Amino acid sequence: MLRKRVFWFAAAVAAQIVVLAGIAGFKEYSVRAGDEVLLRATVADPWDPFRGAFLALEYDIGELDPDELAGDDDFEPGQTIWVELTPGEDGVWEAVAIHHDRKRTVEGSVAMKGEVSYLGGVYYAPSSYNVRYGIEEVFISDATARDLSERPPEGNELTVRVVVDLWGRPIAREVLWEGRQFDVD
Amino acid sequence: MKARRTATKAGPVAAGTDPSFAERLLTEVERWRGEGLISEELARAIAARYAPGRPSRLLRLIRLNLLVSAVAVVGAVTLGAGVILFVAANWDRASDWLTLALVGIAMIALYAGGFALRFHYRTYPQLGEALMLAGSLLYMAGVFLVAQMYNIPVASPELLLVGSLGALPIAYLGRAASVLLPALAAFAAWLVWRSGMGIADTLQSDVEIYVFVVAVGMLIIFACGLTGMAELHRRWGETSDFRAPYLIIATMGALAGLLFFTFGDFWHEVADNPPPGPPVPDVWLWTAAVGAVAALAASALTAREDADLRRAEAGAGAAVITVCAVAMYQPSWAGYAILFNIVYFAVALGVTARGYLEARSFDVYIGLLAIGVGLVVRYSDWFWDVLPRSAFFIAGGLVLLAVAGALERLRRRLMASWVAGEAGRAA
Repeated sequence: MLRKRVFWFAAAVAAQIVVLAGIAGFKEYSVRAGDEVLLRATVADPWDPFRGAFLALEYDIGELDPDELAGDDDFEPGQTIWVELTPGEDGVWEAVAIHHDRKRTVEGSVAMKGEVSYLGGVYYAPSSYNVRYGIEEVFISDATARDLSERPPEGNELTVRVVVDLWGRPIAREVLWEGRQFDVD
Repeated sequence: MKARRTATKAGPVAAGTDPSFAERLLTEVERWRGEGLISEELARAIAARYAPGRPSRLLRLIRLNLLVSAVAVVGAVTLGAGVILFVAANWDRASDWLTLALVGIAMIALYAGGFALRFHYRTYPQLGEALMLAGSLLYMAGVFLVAQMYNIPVASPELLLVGSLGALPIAYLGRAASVLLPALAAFAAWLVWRSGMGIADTLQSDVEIYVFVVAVGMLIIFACGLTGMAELHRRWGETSDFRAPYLIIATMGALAGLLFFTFGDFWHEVADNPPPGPPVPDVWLWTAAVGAVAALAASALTAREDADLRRAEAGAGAAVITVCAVAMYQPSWAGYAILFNIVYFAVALGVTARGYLEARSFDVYIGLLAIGVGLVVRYSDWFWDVLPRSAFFIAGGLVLLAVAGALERLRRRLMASWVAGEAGRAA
């Protein structure tokens, strides 16, 4: 009786471990198999008083003008938006189209998932979409970056190396600023 | 009620019992209760049968056991929180896989220790259960920790489901009733969150206020279902002690949800912002409603000694589910505030009455507390804008003192009634 209970209890514990490792492993795989893009951003806030070495960033692709982009133009706040990116001449990726569904209309493009935060202009004819991707706040893990003076100050431009995983979700990996690299957790 | 009837039937046997046998039996009974082999109700019934002159000794032991359980649970929660804080504090110093390994090793150690103390050595069963609780809390927190480590959105109801479904087998296989509390709470949170999201996605429109109707309605329906599940567990031998955590989540969830629905302003806003067109039936809602009614029906139909009470409970649960379902499908009626006030106070009184009939002090206290909270909320709701501030607080204070006096008087009468019942059984 006790041996049977030990077996099933151990199986339940093993299932928990498998779930945790499975989430981690599957996500690790999806990241490794994802696409890497370089995005330009501006530092909105170099420091978070409660969480420490967090950088608040405003991406160039965070403000999208529907008149300048191909694809759909009838988004509402809270809706999912798929932004199609292609590399520019300087290696930084730029938005070329926006869609309601995941699709790629240009050779070599990457589709990245975001959410429309609010509309610019008037609601019946928005002049821009403010889009959030979930990478607007990044934690810099490098020990040298603990000192505020060692990190990019407010208003500075920088680039962020981002991996777009198999589901189109972006994951910030590295912040590049004036020849320096900061790992992101 | 079951325990009371069992004791009453068997009362005369105690007269000729050898005192030393009764002494040894009481010690054994207390050990069995601690190991979860028998329920608290059964322990009381055995004590009333074999040691009628000394029921208070067993009661003292049971109270000491409750204290041990409470201290152990607080210790388990503190330990789990400490491990999570340690991992969080050293996050950037360790790799993701090392962090994950640390969490896994801590979980295995807690579960192995808990299992050994509860089933192998059987010396510290409550401590063993507390270690299992700590392991489960660590697992549930670990799900969110891993999600955050790998940039999976943590504001997702599915993580709650993963946490809940992982912890439930531990509760049953380890016979650890306390593990059920966080597991059921996480499951309820998942169901409410998921159904709200489901309705929002289905309607494809900005109807936030209606999403609250669905989410809170689902909480109440789920809580009614848990009441039926609680009674079914009581009849399944080994899991009789699981009735308490089911009832705790059910009672608190139902009363909290119903209190939310008693506000007039809420229903006025729902009436002013109705969902576009008739709300679309959602699979989550149907599943929860059918499941809840089935659990209540099974509880009523399989009841033996306490059939009347179970039937009344099932009927009341089905009535509450019906009212909630109607409100979810036809939400644009301001009169729901009055209806849900009636339902809220009826349920609070029902919980109090159930507690009295079954000698469950938790039900009595939570029922009386709900009545008090409901009266205070309604008083504030109605008189805040009407009365001058000074008069509001003076009258409110007097009302509260009157309510406190009435509740204390009711509590004293209930306690006297229980004590008289115990003495009667002992005689």
